[in-house]
Amino acid sequence: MNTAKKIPQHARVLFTRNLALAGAFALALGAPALFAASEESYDPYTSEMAYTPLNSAARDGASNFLTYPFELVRWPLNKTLDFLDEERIPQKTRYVFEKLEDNGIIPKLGVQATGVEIDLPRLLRLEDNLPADFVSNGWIYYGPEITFKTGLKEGFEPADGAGFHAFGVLDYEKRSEEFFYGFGPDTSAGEGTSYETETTTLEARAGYTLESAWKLDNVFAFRNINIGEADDDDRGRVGNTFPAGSVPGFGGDKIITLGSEISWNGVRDTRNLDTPPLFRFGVDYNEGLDDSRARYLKFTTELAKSVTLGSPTRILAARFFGEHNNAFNGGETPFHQMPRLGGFGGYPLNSETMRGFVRGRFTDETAALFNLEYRYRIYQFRNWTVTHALFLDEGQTFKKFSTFQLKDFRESYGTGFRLGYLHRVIFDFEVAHADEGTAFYFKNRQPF
Amino acid sequence: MKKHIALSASLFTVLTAAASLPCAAQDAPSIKKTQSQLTTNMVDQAVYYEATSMLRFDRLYRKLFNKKLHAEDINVYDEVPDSSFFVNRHARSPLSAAALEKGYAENEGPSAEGILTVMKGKSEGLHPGFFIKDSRGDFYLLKFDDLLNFELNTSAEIIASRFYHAIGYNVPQYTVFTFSPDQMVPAPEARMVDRNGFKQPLTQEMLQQYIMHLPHDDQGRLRASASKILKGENKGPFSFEGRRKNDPEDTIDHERRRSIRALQVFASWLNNNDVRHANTLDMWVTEEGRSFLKHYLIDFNATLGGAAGGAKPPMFNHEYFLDYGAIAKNYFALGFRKSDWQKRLEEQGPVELKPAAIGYFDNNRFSPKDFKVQLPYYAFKDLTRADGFWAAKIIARFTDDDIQAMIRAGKLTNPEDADTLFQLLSERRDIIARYWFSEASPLDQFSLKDSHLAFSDLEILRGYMQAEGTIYTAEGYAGAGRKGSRLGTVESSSQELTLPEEWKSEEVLTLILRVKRPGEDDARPYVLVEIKDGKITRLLHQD
Repeated sequence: MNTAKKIPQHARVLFTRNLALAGAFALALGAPALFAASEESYDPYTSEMAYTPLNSAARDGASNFLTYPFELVRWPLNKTLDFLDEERIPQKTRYVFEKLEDNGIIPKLGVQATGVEIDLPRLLRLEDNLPADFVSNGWIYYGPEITFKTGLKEGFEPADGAGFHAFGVLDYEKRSEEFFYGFGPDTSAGEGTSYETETTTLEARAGYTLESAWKLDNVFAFRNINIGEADDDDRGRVGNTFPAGSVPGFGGDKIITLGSEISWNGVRDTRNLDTPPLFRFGVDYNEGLDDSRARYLKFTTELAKSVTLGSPTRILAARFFGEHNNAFNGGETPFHQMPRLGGFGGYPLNSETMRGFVRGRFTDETAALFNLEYRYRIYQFRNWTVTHALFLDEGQTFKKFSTFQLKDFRESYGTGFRLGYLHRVIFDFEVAHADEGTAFYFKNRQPF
Repeated sequence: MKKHIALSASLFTVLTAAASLPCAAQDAPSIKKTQSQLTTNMVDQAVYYEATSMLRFDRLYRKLFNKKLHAEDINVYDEVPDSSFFVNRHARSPLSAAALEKGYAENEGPSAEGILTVMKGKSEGLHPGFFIKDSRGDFYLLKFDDLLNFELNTSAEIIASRFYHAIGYNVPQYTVFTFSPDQMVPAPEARMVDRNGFKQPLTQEMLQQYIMHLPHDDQGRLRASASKILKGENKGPFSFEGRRKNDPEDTIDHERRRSIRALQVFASWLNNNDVRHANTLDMWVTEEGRSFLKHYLIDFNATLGGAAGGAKPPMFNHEYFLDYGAIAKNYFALGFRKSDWQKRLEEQGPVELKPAAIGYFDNNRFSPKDFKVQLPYYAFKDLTRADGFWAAKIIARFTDDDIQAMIRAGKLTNPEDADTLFQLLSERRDIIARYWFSEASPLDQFSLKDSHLAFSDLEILRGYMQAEGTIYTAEGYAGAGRKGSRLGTVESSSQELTLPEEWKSEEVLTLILRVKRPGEDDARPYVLVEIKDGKITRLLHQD
């Protein structure tokens, strides 16, 4: 270690400056020849510095002037992040969630509804005394302005997906604000009304799932649906806006349902960035009880598939949803049981995906909807990804097939950014536009 | 009389300078310990500073007018003199093979005899480990390999520490340490943060559980990189921006230190993606009777083909953690753009198929210009051609034998792995040196005799370029810098210029030297040579 290391920088600078002054003074007294006769070498690692350091406080103060307001954000943010890191809050949070799950309490966090599911055998430490396929779950969800839901499920359901299932469900759901804009494709967004529903369901389901993911599910259900007035005063009332008798089921219904559904990968996994293929087709017979005039057949189908376009980072994902309700023998299809289009889609919104329109914007006995997305990856760091999606939603509702017209399709299109981890959606931001306006979505899942 | 006055002046100067020197045995200034948490660091660098850089007048001005910010820790000969940040080692005088292999060493590493008392678990950073006390009473931090990549992280850490030390940085002592798991016994007061973030007493049972997940060699022993705990008072990491408050020796903003900026170039050689604040350490030390803050680089597991959790992920060193440029390009390309790392992955095959001890390390699509560490520090963005040339000059000083000696320190079991590393590092040395030399007039080792100015052309010296056809030109200016009157131009095809006799009359002569290679249209950046009193008094490579 040479002496330069022992002398502080500012001292060296001063020393250098003084030496230079002395040198200049000596030069003035008698300058020697420019070129020496013998070879002159130099110490390349001399501590004689080339520059005198400037006062960085003054320099930075001036150049950083515009950034100071942002420091007011940065400081508390950093303190918060430091606290989270130092106290290991993410790990502790994960531990709490895992511990709760181990004890049969499964928190369900969502943007629009948050709740908890209770695995009763696990909670009561009865797992070892009960058959492996036995399920006994309870749930409670709350989504401000959308839903309150609670229920119970008892029966047998194979843990690995394949095998026989048979269970009963008791469920109560209250929706404080559902929207209704009239029937068919030509309604006006300005005529929106709102209503409240309260549905109590008692159902029995039984069926079989093959290893290949094909599933047959049969249902027998009783539903009591009460319709009331929503709290929202900004919208009109259904009964005031639409002529009396023009909205079937407006007084509520008691309905018995008997139905079957055949499906392949039938549960939509909206957290999977790759959109696994899905097919389902179901037929329900519905009969109203007491003074309900409901008597209709419901046909539902859904298909979804994604294909990679030459690279796993480019995906074209498509989905079709179709539903037809056919009233017969003088019966009717209650409006609250008809398909609805508009909004982001998925539970608890109860309206199929047409992102440029508001939730429940289109209603009628029949619905046809196509969702098309081109997704491509724009960022990847380890297992984190950001996928950009360009999407088009084309859909319409109509009464009978004879009234179907291609020109009645309404479209919405837009763009989305999906943050994913290990192919699971963590966060989704989307902007959609349609002829009725622009909508923004912040979600923790994708539509399909 | 003149001589008398000159002597008086010199005496005055020396006394003044001496008076301004601080007392060697000064008290420790109140230097606060710093912290650098990974998340904060990432948010600061990848989001905050990136976003606000356009609001900084100095950065905006330099971006708009393509102005470079010269380094301030350089001496009059355009070198970085020794300091508490950097000590010229191999560049000053080539170290022996034994010295290179040994690196910074206070002893031979942890004692293999007796009990290794585990004092606590290390949960900070990307590589967990154990703080231990050996039977001699010395303290070490032990870090291990990933299960699937035995020898990768441990050898990378040791080998990279040898390189960084030889280059000139302060590093702790790192050694490969092989031992029986039975030797590890937790101290009664030992604590470890478990995977759930809770601090728990470290029991023997808990220790066994951790050890179970570590790779063992054929004889059931554990292999670790053992870093000896540094002497002195831990003052936390140093920043790559600004200065340390209350440190009287820290007079230059760190982003203006060439020794800090050039970490980018050295990282490109060693494939180090994890150069960040948290991997530095300031220690208040007393050496040779002087107390000062010594600046260290630490934690080299993420060098060569390694990263946290094993082999390097393919995007590392091609893109920042949040690379807005790449994201924007990908966005507008609608999915039809392949990043360099994606092309490389296609060409090289899956990371998992690479040799376990080498990880994901090759020179395919390696570009010194485009190499990125994981966070976008200003210091690295401010790297100039002169800074790059300086770093490349040091890198080029390492011969094949030197590189092999440092790789030996990694104690790789399979000779083929050592050979592969040598091939990659020597090839990468040449790629880096070629690039940065081509960005400069790579002239060095100047000497002046009579009116002959001789120098070495490093591109030719290192065999990267043929001497034929190269022309060296020197524009002469009266006085210091280029503001004096222009005296004329001389040129030569050899590495020596004969300066005209009439230039002798100048008190100070400034030469602007440039290299013109055959086939190159643009003139290379200049080298400024200042001559006074028959001596070379200044050298400066153009930024």
